[in-house]
Amino acid sequence: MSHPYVGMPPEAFWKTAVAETDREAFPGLYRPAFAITHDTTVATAGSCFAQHIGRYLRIAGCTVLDAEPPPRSMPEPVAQRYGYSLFSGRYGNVYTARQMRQLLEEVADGSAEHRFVWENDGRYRDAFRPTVEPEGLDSAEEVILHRNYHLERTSRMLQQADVFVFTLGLTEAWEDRETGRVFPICPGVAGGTFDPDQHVFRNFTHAEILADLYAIQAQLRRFNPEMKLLVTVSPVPLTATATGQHVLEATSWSKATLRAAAGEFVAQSKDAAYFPSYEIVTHPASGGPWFEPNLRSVKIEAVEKVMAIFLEAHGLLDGAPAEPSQSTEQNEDDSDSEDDLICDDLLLQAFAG
Amino acid sequence: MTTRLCLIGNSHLVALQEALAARPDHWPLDCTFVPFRGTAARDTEIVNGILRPTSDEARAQMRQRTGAEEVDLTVYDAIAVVGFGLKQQHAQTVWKDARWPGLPSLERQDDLASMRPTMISRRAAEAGLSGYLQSLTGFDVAARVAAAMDCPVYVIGQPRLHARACHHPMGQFFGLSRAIKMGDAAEISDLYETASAAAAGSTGVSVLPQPRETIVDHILTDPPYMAGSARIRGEHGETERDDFKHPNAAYGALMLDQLASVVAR
Repeated sequence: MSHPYVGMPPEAFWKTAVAETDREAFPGLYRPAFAITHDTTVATAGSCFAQHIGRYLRIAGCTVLDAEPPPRSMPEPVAQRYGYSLFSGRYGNVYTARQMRQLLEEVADGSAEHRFVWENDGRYRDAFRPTVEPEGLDSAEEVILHRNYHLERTSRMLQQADVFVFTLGLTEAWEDRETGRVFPICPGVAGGTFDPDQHVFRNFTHAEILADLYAIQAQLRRFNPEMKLLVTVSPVPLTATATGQHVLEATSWSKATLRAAAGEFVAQSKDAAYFPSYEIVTHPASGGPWFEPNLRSVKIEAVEKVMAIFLEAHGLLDGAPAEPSQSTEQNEDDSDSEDDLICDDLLLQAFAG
Repeated sequence: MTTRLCLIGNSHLVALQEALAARPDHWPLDCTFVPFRGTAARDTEIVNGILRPTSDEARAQMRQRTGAEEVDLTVYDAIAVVGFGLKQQHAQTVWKDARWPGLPSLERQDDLASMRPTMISRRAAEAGLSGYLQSLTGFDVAARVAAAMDCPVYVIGQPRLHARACHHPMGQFFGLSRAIKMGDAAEISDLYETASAAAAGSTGVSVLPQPRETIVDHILTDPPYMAGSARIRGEHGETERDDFKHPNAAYGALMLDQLASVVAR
């Protein structure tokens, strides 16, 4: 008797691919669609989980681009607080595909606009990355100066990128009604003032995210026609939801939608791939529990497992240290948990009561 | 009334020692000097007000230079931490890697994105430098002393480099001449002062700045305040004189003036 399942590889079957396999390494779970070597220039962006990818790729000796490197003497915690070297651009967390799309469009064609400068108590912030200057700037003009510089440096960085790694984090965002532009965090939380007539809640659908992913890829190709796109989904649950649903239900909806959109996009796109960090952390078959007691922060052991699978698949694991080195003395007491990442959406937690 | 003052520092203590030796009764200060070389002062602990070395190297240094293996800090009215790598050149290294609004050279720059240095905010520059200064031995020691003791703690940084250093590879490395020519020296100097003060504020100590009259071109030390300077005595009692980094007794006298003034308040 002949049928399509005869002769399929072991990873096609739950028994051989999951139940009876090495679930630390998950052989065959990730088969790179394109190579990443030590000579590959990589750019990263996305939700806070994306910071791990850049960090571990650097440790593995890869060239991770940095559009705006901080002064070398700036201690790492200070640099991170000011948004440096978290991603390949100082764009802060990019949680949604829409936010990524609009950033790339602005980098390619736009310039900073005064309407997106937030003022609070005489301090001024960039509405699209309100936390990169923790104390704000002295004037709206300075915000514009820094944003235009940021856009130009990001453009130059993208022109050098061979691979762009984008981690999808959320489906929910707040949009400016007049322009349709979305913010990384709800106005009023980390700057600005919430105006229900001006700020509209959006929960992006599968179709919208899929369209945004295609637009992202098209934008990236304007900077480098050969650029590959690696998509991942963050396993980190929502800090809060504005949908009216229970946050657990909203998290499931959000992650399922992101995962489905990423899968469909990759299936239909040339030069795009998906890396299953979400599955490795969240699926019961992967062991764990991989979350800290707050059930949101991903344990460092889980990050190591995710990145080991990624680096191994690309032949980059040999010689990579088990965890990021801490070069400065003042870091010796730092915890290794997800809370060390810069996650703007954690600011919402303050309103949990 | 005489103030009992303990000065813990590196080779930059010598300028104060020599000033005091030249005019022992000039200042109402009863000074004890506790010198360390390098970063050995990090290898100390303060338990019940007693400063003790925690490594063989620090113990050997303390024994050699003070004749004791511990210092009772409880008998002092004030404590000063001197030198230990706290210096203006750290602001120069920030400037080499970054430019910030307020620097005249940035105002003249047409194409910011083409600059090799990164444009950062003044606050980021200050926070980065302050954080870096806090990681150095000087603030490490000062912070631990301040946490353990009730008396005021002062930090005295190293002087700016000798004016002649501009033409020396060391000065060229730090971009001293370039910073002056580009008109950025005043702002770099101000960054250092404000970052030092911020570091002090974070650690509960006070910084005594370099005396204005000893500074030229904002980022250099006037040669008369370094001529004949001496470093900490070596293992065999020898001293090195005349370098680009160390102040002399005239400079030390001005710092003692400042110390006497602040401890009298």
